[in-house]
Amino acid sequence: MTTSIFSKQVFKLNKKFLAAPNPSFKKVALSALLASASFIAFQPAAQASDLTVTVTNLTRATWFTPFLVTAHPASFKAFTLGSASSVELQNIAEAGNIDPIQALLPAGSTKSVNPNNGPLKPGGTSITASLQGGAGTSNSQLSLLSMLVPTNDGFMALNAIDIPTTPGTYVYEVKAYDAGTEANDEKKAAAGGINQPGMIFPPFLNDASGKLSADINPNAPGFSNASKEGFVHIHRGILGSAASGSSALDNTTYRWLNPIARVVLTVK
Amino acid sequence: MTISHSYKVRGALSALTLSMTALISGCGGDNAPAVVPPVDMTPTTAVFEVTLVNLTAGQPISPLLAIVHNDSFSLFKEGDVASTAIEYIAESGNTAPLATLIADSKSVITSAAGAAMPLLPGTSNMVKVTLTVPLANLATSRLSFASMLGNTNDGFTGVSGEMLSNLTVNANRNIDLLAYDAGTEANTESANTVPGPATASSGGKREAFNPMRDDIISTIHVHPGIVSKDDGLPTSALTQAQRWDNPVATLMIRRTQ
Repeated sequence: MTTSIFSKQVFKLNKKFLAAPNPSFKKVALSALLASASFIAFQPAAQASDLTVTVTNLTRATWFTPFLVTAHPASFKAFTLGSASSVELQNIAEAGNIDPIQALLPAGSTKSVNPNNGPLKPGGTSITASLQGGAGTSNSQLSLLSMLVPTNDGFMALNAIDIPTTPGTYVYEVKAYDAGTEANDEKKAAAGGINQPGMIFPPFLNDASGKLSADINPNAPGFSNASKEGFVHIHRGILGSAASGSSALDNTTYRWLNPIARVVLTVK
Repeated sequence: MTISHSYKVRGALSALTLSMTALISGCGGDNAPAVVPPVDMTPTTAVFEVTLVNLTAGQPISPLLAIVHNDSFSLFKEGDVASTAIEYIAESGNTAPLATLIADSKSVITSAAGAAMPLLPGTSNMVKVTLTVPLANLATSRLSFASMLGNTNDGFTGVSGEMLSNLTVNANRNIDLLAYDAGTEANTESANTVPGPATASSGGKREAFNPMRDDIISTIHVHPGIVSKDDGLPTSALTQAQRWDNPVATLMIRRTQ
């Protein structure tokens, strides 16, 4: 809710102006006000809205990999539901890699890369990301991208939403998506990176003793009948299984229902 | 300022009414109406009708206890450890510990309990309570409640800290409610641990509240849904019939005054 230092100055002058009993003093105050207003107009940084973004992980046991928050022009959209994923999005959804997609951002886009300094645990709220964008800039849209772990190719996203032009606090409930680039076989991947079947199990899935969490079975055969869908869609969720079942994931631990995240956006 | 001003206007008007009445009664003889001193009708309270509707196919929602409080009180929050009051509600539907808690809390402005019967899916799926909030408290007033999803281990629905001051008179707000997991009891879905009607003829213990906290996740989160025995959980006494998707309930808030 804090205004920029420039608008604070304006406010102070404005108060003086209103309180001034003498018409000639009013005139001086008014011109000072105008001068400070034009000063603002020549400061591009002050013209852009300040945005802050925090993410809360609402799931039971699903982690969010280091995420990307970006304010960008309407010419960019990370994905279209029903259409094939880009390789750049595939890198996020299968490997948690947010580097390649940044090369697709139009010139002048702003971003906050990994504002949480690491993955966001279930139940956690991220460190606040700050960036410029919104009203008065060409970056009218906001996107947020992060892989869901453990999944084959699940990710969470705000996909080029309109940044509100009225200052305030806005809350979004976020859904889980499936990139459609990998079969949801729910078995352990033999290797990391994209175009590798199976799920990655990064160290943050380890339990307190440092071993892979007991509710993950790295030897599970997976669902052999699964195949990649070929298009981005709402994730149908983890199926999981009981101990020694087909899935590597325990079915009372790793399922989720939407929404999986809550995002609080402030526009100043 | 506004109130005292309008009071003066009212005072002047009533004096006028009085003198006119006196004039009429002076002319009209014996059948003059009795003079009733006018009452200042400016409300000093805001009144909210709160209606909870169960949207599920197979989950009873436990009796409603709606509370209005200020920012110093929080009923529940995702990522936080559940209070004992929430644990009681989530595991057994019992709001008595919460009622005791709020009776002692200076942060709670008012509360209202619905009928002591659960909201069953289908025709008796609705309950309505009325909350009266002094206008002096309205700016900081927030609405919260939590009710158990009966055919779960520790599932509940509710709302925490919904702002009331931004509802104008005669305005409505409908809120889609999520199912939460209190993180206080393992989701075994067993006949020994699920107290709801789905386990009624199971012969199990159907235990409600148990102070032991044995969920693998120890904080409140959005419920992952039940798995059920039909979908691969051998310990489950539940079937596909008790599954749900969000939203599980709708909360309608209407300000009537």
